[in-house]
Amino acid sequence: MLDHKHRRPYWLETRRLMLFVIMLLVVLLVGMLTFLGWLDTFTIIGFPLGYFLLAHVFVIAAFVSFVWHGHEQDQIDRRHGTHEDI
Amino acid sequence: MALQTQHRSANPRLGIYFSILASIVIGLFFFLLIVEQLGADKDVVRLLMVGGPVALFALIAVLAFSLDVSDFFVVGRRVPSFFGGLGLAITVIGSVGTLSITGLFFHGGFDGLAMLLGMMVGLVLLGLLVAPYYRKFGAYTVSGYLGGRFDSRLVRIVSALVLVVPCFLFVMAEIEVGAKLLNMITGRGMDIAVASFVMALIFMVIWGGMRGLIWTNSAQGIVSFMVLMVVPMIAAILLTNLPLPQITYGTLLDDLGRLEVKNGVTAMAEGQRDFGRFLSNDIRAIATPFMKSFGTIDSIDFLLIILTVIAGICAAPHLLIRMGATPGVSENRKTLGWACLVLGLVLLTLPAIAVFTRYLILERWVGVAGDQVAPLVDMLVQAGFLDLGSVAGRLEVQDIKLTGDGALLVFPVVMGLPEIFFYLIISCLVALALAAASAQLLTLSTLFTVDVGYIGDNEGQHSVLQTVGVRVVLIVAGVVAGWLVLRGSIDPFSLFFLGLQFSAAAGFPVLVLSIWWKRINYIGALAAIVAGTGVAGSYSIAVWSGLIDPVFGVDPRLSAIFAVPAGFITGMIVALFTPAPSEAEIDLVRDMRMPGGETLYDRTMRYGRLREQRKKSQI
Repeated sequence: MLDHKHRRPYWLETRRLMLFVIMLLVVLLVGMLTFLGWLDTFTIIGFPLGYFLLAHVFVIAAFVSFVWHGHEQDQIDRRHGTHEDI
Repeated sequence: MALQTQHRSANPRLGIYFSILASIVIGLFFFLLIVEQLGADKDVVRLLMVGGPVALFALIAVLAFSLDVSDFFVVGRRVPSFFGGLGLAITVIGSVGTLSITGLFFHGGFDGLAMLLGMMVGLVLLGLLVAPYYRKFGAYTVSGYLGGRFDSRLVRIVSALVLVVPCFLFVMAEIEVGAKLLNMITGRGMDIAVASFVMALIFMVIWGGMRGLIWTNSAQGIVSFMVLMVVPMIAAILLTNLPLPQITYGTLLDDLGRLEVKNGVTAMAEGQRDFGRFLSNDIRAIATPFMKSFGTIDSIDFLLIILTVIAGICAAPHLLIRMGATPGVSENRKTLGWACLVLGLVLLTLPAIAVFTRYLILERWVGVAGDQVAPLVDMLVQAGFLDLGSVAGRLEVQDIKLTGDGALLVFPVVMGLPEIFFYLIISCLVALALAAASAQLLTLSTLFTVDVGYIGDNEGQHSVLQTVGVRVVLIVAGVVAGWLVLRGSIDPFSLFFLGLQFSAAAGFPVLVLSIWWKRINYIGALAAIVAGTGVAGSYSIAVWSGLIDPVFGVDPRLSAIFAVPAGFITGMIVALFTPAPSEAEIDLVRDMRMPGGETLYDRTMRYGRLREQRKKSQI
């Protein structure tokens, strides 16, 4: 098990990654909702753009960012030697 | 150096077994499609289409019988990520979620996005904030985790008592929906339908506990996911020539807008917007254009729905209880990844179903005599999902009234698909209701038995007696929930939403603080739980009983918006003014944050067993 000195950088990186993904989702969601009226003046494959971004792009972005987070977290775990060897 | 995690491997033939199951259901569907067209008895066709898959689920449940304690509570920690994720996704949404999201889109149009976004982000945040750390701890229940994390029996009992409330609300909502569907196809009355549904529900988990739950949920997930993807795909081919309903429904929006204008569906006035009506399952006509944003609720309520649903999903005890079954922390993240994929696909599809239904109702039913619309309409009208007013005359938009849960049920009917598709949708919804309700029932029974009652607890060790206790409580809790459903007419959407509020209020602050803030001690944890639940409970009761007016106009069904900050603030303040946690407690948190190494709960159990053995050898 890692000692206290080595745990700290691991946890800082983990926390930074988690905050980055949450902030990304918050910025996307707030941005899309704030500019909804303006975005809806454009149309994409029949959808008003604002609706399309929220109902499609945001859902896909949430999934992709979660998968990316999992991949990055695995890298952090390996870098610090805290990963599981299953 | 990598740290070893020991676990038994999963059955390598699982994929084959579930492929056989999927093939049987597909074969049954095509067989019934043929015999239906040949004029077979409709009662037999509908019972086989709904009962056939349920019989398969029941067979899996019996085959999952186990007396092993670890199998009963955490499936020996060996559930592959795909099956775990599939089961998790359908438990998140359940039958009530599926029907409510379709209904919210059908009646509220754009505003239905609030629920959709809340669920998706909630699942993502569950995977970011709580699930991997909860899995590293490895407790069998949420309260077991909190009790172990704070080394406090009081925290364990209090948290179990409050977390039972959302489980009970969720399970009642699912029973109501499942029984209504069974009543519609059998016509034997609500009491028989509730009794049958509750029996089926108990049957799914009484044999193998979590083992039965995980494998029946996988089967239910496969069946319901196939139906929710394929039926809209057929509709998309028929309506838009492309088999991608998630994308192609956009091409209908212009026509839908024109039909809405032609039939006088105009935006609601400011004062007519009502959150309670938006969320409820009341029967009503189309009242607002689909693409009108914030047409049925205001933007603040829209935002509050998203935030409270996120917190509710993040802390839902029936979702967290499944996390212990994954083989490790990394697999846990993969499980959540699969769950996000399945849930995301379902959430992309449900608005398409709502648009297809709305478009077809306006195009095919308005202006037609009520008695000529479709033969299956009578069944929907009798079950209370649909009202066509005076059926003899020409239908106007105001005559066609649907409940929220009616929108999905009307979809195959208004599409003009063969009757078997209607029963297929019901079969899918019954599978979803069984999946979600069995998870909720098992969770509340485990909380009652293991965490509140301490039944069979042997110096902190789990025993076979506990599995017997959970089985007994399952029956009692199922019967009580069924009896409560029968006692009064309840709105399943409101119950589901209220359940999310209470799960957010009671669980979200303490769960997040327990992982991300080392300084919190057991008194702070207790304060967070009590403050969150207290605020949500007292606000709801005070507003509904008329003692106070809604604060800032916030409906009691959004009470978590006050309760969650109250839980966080109280928990933190109380923790800061009371003694800091011991070094052992802080070490436990540090271990919990590291993915590698032995599961902490299993380590505690192992030490306990070693102590017992040492005591015995000394005697």
